[in-house]
Amino acid sequence: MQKLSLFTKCLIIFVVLWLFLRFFIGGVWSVPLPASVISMYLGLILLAILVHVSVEDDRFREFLRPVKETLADDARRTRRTVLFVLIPLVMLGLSFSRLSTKADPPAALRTAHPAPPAELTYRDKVIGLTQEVANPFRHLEKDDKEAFKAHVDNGRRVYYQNCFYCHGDDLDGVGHFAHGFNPPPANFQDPGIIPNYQEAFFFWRISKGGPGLPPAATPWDSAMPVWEDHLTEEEIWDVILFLSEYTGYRPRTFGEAAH
Amino acid sequence: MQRKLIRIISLILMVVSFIAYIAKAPAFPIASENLLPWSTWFFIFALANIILWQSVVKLLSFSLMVIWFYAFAASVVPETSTATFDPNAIDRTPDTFIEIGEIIFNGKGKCNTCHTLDPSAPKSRCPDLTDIGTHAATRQPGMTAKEYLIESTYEPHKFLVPGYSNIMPPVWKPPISLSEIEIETVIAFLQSQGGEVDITEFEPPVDIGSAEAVVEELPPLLTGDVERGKKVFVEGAKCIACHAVAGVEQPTGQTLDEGVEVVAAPELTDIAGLNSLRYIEESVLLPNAQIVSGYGSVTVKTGGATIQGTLVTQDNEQITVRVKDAAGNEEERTILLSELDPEPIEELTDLTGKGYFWIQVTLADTGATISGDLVEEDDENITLQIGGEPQTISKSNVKVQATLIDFDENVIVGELIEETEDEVTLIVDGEEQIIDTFDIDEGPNYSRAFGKRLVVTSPMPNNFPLLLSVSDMSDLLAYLASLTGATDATAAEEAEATAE
Amino acid sequence: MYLTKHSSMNQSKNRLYLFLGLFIIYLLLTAATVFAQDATDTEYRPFPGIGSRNAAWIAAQLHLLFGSFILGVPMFAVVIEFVGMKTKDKRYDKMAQEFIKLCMGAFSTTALMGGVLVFILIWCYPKVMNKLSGIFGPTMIFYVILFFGETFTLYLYSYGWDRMQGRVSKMWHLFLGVLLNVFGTAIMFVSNSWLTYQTSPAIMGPKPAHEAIPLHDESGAFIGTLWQAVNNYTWMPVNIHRLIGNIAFGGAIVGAYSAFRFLAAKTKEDKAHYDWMGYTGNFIALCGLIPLPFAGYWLGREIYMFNNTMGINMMGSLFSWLFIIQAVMIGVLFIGANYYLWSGMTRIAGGEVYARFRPYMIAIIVISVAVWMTPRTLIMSPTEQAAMGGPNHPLVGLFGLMTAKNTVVNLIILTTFLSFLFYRRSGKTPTVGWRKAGNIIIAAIFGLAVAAIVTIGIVGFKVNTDFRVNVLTPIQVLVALAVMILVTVIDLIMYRKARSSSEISWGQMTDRSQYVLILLAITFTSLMGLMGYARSGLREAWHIFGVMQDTSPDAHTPLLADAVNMIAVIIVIFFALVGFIFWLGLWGDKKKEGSPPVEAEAATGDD
Repeated sequence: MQKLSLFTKCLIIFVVLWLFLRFFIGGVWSVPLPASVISMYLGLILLAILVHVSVEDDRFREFLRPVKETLADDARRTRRTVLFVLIPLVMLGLSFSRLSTKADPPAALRTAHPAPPAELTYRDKVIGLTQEVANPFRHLEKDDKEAFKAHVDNGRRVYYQNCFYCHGDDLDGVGHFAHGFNPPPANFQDPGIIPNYQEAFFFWRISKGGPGLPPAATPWDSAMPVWEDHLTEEEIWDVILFLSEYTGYRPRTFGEAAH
Repeated sequence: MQRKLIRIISLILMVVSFIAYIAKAPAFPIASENLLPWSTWFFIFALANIILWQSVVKLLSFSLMVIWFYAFAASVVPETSTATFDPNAIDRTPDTFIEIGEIIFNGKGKCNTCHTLDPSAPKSRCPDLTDIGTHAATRQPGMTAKEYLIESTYEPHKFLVPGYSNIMPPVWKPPISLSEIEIETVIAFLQSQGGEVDITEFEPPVDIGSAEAVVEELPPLLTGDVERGKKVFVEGAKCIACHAVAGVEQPTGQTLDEGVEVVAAPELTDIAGLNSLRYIEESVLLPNAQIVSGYGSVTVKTGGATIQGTLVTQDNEQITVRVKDAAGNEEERTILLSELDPEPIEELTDLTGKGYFWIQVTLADTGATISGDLVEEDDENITLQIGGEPQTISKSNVKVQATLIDFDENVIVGELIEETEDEVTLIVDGEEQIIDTFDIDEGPNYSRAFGKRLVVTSPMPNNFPLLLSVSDMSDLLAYLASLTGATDATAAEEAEATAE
Repeated sequence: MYLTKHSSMNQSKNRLYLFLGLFIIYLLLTAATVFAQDATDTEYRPFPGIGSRNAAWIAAQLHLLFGSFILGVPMFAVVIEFVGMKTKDKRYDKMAQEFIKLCMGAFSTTALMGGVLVFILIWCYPKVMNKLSGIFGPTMIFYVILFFGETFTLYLYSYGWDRMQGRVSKMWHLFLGVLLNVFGTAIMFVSNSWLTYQTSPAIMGPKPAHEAIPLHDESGAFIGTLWQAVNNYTWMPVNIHRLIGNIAFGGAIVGAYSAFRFLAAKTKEDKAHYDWMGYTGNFIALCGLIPLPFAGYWLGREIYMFNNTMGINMMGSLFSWLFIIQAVMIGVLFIGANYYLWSGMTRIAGGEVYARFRPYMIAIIVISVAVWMTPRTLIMSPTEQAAMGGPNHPLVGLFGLMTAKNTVVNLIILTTFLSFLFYRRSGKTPTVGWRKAGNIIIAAIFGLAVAAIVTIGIVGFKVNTDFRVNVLTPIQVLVALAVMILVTVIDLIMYRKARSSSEISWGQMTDRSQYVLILLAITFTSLMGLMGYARSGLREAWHIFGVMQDTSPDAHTPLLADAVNMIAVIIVIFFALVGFIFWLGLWGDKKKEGSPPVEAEAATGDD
């Protein structure tokens, strides 16, 4: 058995890692990765392999040897011919697949964290969304545990009367209607949702809903209703308390620069 | 010598392809970005130069490749527009309009998602717009290029290019939300594609004035403007076509006060005095929720014929339906309920909700076929009035007729015995027959019973939530809330106050 | 040995260049004031061909890049000169002198670009410039005075180098160098005040709320004092950020210059000299790079404090994808820097014993970079999103969160530190008796630290943000810092009397490592261009945020792809000019040495 060349070894490693990303992470372990992520990771893997083989001169020469042989050595004529036929064919296939019309709409970016306005008008009442707005009932958590619990309970009632159809009864974004929406409803159990936003942000998103998103947030075709028409200000603050209490995540405060 | 020539040519090609990439030149040799973009050309030549040359040109190729890599990485991000300027403040010159229009075409307007500007590109979802500036004038006779472009932008469904369907979204509404002047710039840009640019202002054919209000804030129920609401009532939603209001001129030119008889829909002169605001809101958004008697439309089958019309009266024996014949003459027909044709029923759920009042079933245990008026229904049982006696039947105790078509196009009808994933067991003509599911082309379709029904719906379109913008809706509600029968303004204000 | 003495010819050429530059500036300014006469009612004049915004963009970014170079280089030139004076090692002195020589050529170009920029601004944006000069008038006069100070000190410092080599005069020379840096830094601070004012025309209110107090009334008229306008929200953070950035950038450009000379060098001595110089440049660049994120963090925080919407636009909304491209660039910087160190170990006999750790270090760095580059919101088509069951991937989506990013940054920094450690140790054998125990302790410290950092990172997913930001993240950073300090101390003691089995054979580097130095320089430049776009783009459609609206057709914020295209053009121009200036130096030297200008044509390459 002939010893594998360094080039072949690297090729095998690359293919194995590709299979790992494509089928193991994107199948056995978890759900499929988007093509953009896979190509980004493959680019990095390629870079890592090139770094590894090219630091020392000897190893780099060893790595390039099969390539040079294939291109120049007469003993490798068969391999060369096969490659020279295969490569244009592969290119042809790639061109064909790129030119054929696809049913899949093009990839689009969402703005996951649209910037809120500086203030909003809630039923004719102007509410500033900057530093001074924290949840008016948040302080009860320390000052008056009973009253706080009452607010959370009220929030729970509001949630299960209005929100759970989409956001799910475990607040995990898979309510009865969830499958019908793209983007899907927010999953409050995700560690990237509640801890990343201030309570004022939630107040803005709940009260103004999808139609209240700024132009910069398109194409964020959110189906979130405008709860301002249906809930009182207190109910919205209460439901925010409930979201935080139920999931155990705390919204960030204005003391910190978000990053 | 030859080697040197190859090197120099590849150097020149690399520089040319780099410049072409940065300058966003059209693709070469086939003008299609998908096949061989300049970035691919550049990559190939830069690689060739790195291999072919020594020292300085190698260095140059390497440097250009690094610079290109970052530009390429940034261009992979499919970004939407960040156009945040105030478009009303721009200069009104054709050049400015074309420049901004192009940015919006490729950015905020997302036009380039479906339209191409490249005749050789593969067929896209929407028509290619190369030279649309001249083509537009030829699409519809009697329409100038600009008029056609305006119509196609605001009301794309009015003229569809053959081979394309009506998929263009309203660009003045969220999520795209182009303002009027932004649409003007896009039209200027489209005109510049082979045509004359004319940037004089124009009136959009549909109401887009409220687009911005929608994005900004949504007023609660009664913050609408009564006067604007009246406009919506008369012109926008054309409610006046069916609903009359005292003192408001009808499309025919008459007003109610002159003794016009209203037949199409309820008169609304004092609707707010008779009903709560929530009822009015519900009636606009869900017209079928409550139907004022005498105004519902009904579809029934009798003797194989379908009769459609307005339900005038209804009792336990018969209904009276006002129908229009082909000539437009109206006549009232009376139909006995017993004469209605029974229709097969697939599922025995929510029978009353679906309008059934008479049911015929075949019982599984006794094999008897019974029929009667539906009295009561719950999840498990139905109660029928049979010969004056109510009889309760379990929904599971009914014979099921199955109809299926196999791949030889034989229609098999029989009584269902059992159905599993692999096979269906039926009794056909007294014999048990087992059919493999692989042999079934269509079906099996089941009929569990036969029923007669009477479905009454509102003739009002149920798409007002979509037709009206939110501010239109609130204006309309405000107007309707002011209709208390009194015609002076103070009464309207009173109504507003009480409703709040 | 390469000679660094100036030929008289080179001197006169430099001087000619400078006077030409100053003369053009004078002409432009005169012309500009004439145009400014009728500026009262003109808001904008279009710049022919490429448009006003692009013209101003190119001129400003080029001015900034050159300026950054000539402000950064004297800082470490003075330090290196001081080191040379203390160690009495002439090589340091020569290297510092060569750095300053590079500055000289770039200096007049900086001034020229500044003149062009001022001209474009006054010609294309008369109303904005009127407004700004109305507020900042006195500082502009101060700026001119500082500029003259800078010019004369630089010339005295550079031309006096060979003469002021005596014991006392060397002290005076060093003092000149320090003075030069004072002038340079002051110039930058003054001009920073103008542009930071455009971004954040407000001052910080009293504690504890720190609310922004605007410096304009409702009608947009200025109501503050000059000092308030200067000392606006982002002024000091931008000053510090740029100060550190200049050092890193200067180091990187010096590294690229050395790499270029290394590749062009014909003799062993030249190769050795430029290898060493490139190593020093890269070292300086890395020293600047490590604290840069902290300065950037402060700047970001101030932007959030000034205007929350602006902050979210920067990090979460409009510019969030820019930071993914930034992550790509920083990933390249770290991988490149480590590659250079590993390559460096091949020129030391005995460095190969550490080569067996390399695959693992590559793996750690590349995995960390992969995590860092993974965005929270992935690029995907609706079909892929449906297959994933939501917008965030259950596994890879977690990489998008800050706790993951903080963790991998610390891992990357620790791995880079480990590379340094191996580099330092290469070719040396410790003689202390506890060397085995020492190595075990160091390995244990690294192991524990990595375990701690990763554990904290995982815990970070579960806790609330305030706790994570205020407690966990600082602990992570402290752990990394503590490891670096502790290990350095142990290592120093261990290797104090180490037996040196081989010297560094300077000049025996692979050509590929030199290309990496050039890669680093281009990446630094791209990064500066990108961040310049972010800083300027944050104002959105405002000349002065919230006060004076941009109503020109250019008011929209360009797409990221278009912006980076523009930056690519600027970088090509920048390196073409830098290449030209370096070539001038090379040309002069060659003439002086009497050898035929063989490399003259070779050196035109960097355009």
